[in-house]
Amino acid sequence: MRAVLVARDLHFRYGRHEALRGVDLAVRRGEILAVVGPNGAGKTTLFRLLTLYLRPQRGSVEYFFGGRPTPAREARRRIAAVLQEPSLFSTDVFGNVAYGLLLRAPFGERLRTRLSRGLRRLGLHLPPSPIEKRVEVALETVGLAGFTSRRASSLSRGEAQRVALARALVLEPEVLFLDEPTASLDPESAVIVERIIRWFREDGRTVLLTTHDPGQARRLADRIVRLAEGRIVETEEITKGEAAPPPPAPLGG
Amino acid sequence: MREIWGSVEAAFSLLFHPDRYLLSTILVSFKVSGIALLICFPVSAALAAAISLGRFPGRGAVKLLVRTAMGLPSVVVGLLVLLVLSEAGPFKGLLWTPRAMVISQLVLITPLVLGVMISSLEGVSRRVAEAAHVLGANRLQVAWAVMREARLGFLTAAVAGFGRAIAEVGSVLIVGGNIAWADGTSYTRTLTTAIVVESRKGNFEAALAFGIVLMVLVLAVNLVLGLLGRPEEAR
Amino acid sequence: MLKVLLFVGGLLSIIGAPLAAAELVLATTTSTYDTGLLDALNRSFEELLGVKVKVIAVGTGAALELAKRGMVDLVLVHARPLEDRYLAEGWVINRRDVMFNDFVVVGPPEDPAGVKGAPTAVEAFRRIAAAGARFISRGDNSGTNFKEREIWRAAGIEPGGRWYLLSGKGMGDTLVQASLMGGYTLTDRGTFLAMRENLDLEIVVEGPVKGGDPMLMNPYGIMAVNPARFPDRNYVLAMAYIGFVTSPEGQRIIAGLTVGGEPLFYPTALREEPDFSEYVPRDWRGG
Repeated sequence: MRAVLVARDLHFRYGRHEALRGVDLAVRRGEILAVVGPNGAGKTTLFRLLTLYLRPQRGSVEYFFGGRPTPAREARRRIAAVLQEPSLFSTDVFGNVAYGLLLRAPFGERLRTRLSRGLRRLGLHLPPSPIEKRVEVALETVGLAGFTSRRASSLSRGEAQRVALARALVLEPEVLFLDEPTASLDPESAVIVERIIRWFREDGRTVLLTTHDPGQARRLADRIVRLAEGRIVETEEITKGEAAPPPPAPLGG
Repeated sequence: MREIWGSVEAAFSLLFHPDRYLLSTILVSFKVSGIALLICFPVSAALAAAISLGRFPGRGAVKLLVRTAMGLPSVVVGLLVLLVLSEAGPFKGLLWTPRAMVISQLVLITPLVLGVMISSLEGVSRRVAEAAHVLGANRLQVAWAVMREARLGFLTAAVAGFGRAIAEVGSVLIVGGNIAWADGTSYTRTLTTAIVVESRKGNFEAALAFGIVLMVLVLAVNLVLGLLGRPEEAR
Repeated sequence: MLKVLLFVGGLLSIIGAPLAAAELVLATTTSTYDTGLLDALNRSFEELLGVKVKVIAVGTGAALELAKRGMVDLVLVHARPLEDRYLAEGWVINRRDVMFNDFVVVGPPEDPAGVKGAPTAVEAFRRIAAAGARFISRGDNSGTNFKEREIWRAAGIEPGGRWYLLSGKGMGDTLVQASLMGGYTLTDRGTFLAMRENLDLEIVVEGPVKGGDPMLMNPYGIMAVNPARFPDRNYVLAMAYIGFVTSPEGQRIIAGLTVGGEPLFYPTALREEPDFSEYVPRDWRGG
């Protein structure tokens, strides 16, 4: 068993409120891990520490890519997260989905992409840059093909959440964090997202998700960790025999 | 009443046949306030990002200081800058020049611009910063993403700052000296200080002409501000 | 950070012409400046020497204070007692008489205090105080203000009460206020003549130019800032300017300034017989 992410003795407090009181967790490479628990148990806080957005007051978070301890800056380039609220940027769908790619791309790529987008708006069609192609693929995956030029502000809640997902998927992260991924989705979209999660893992990538829905946890996860009042109170292994998921449908369904 | 109308008519005719005096005064006003804004904007943006996105002790005190400084009367600023310029050795040559006016207007409008920028940054949801972060942005990139979300607020800040600068009289009067050359061309005389001297001399038509130009400018500034506000409401 | 400083520096260097080595800064009073006298003098001076003169028009008190702080090169004011003090303290040197005009007492045409016909300014002020008629004082340490206080002192009156108002403004503004409020005020003849058309006021006590009270004399002096105390100031140019203003050419320009046919100033710099009082404080005993 190879651990890709190890959290030791995590403590975190907001002001006077202690959100995490000692959490130890080892995430295996390639597994789907579901974190469940009541509101206020500390699920979101745990994610914030694991994505390195916050620093724990006590304890440590360490990534192991390629079997070696990975420094934070490099680790952050290989993970991505989708927050509970979509929190899209006030630009178009392309600007949102391409955001992480543009951050990582060299200057020439960025320039090419911006020029291509700009000219496209004027009616000229250059061959799409690699970034534009990846964005299109990501949007197809979440079932939003053709949404590229829509303003983020014009999207429904469900569409926005799927764009946020595409925004993370397009980066092909080795560890993907999803905070309540289907909470605001209609049933069809929820099914699409669950399919994506399973497909994602097939690639040898790791998924951590939080959910309120115990059924979803059992459907998707290899392991369920229950959080209560800032501590892990239960860990459950889901064997493959139970509730075998249907085979993944072709992409873009 | 007829007298006032006569003055207004005379003022408008001066406007349609502007002389060197009026034109050079408008130029000085724009130069000084425009450059003050050009310098103020990036400096304030950086400061605003640092203050609203950073976490340091005394942050609340800094914000309070900014809000207080916003209300500084222009004459007070002018006096302070005058005293500094008259004491500090290397800066002595700046007195009575447009550069001194730029400096005093900088001091005057920066708290305002900074305050509006901080407000608009804080109006941006914290989740945006987190979203940028979890997609791999470093601190600078997160700050840039948040600033882009606040871009309308930043534009408002710039327009508000320029409006305050172009319409103030206290500080530029004191540090600039309201100087016009013997041929009537303005050196440190702005639209506002020209009104001071012309109305003091009893040249009410001229004073009114300057006043009208100034009001048109301020109106334009407010129009732009209003238009900027509209897309926000439409959302 | 360096980039920011370079950007700022670059912008600052764009505005304003690069400072010429030869530039003169003159402080004078608002009333003097508003007559247009300085513009007339400076046009010729600039042609003569190719030097631009920056004129800062403030109150008399402020002008002398600017000199005391070395913020200007020379001053042209009209408040002899105050000039004497700054001379005695060594802040300014090389004083010359330039010109004089006079003050007049003006008031509303209805003359509620019955001032018309008073033989002297002191008597007029006594009548105004006795009647409690509205009087507008500049209250700003200007030359006019100084003269006004001199007259009250001579009359033995400490002005105060609801009839005595301080405008805190320049002469023009004060005249406008007196006109609107129907009050009396002391003014230099020049400003009054220049603004007469827009005012509802009349001369109630004449000044010496028209044969009236000699106490209303208003002499103007020009003096350079002491280079021993402020070596950075442009002393040589200041002396050149003083030389110009007190030269036949300069005095001719001064005499040529008229309003409605009446001269605003009477030049006094040129005398065939010496009068040493212009160079030193009046109570100076020598030695």
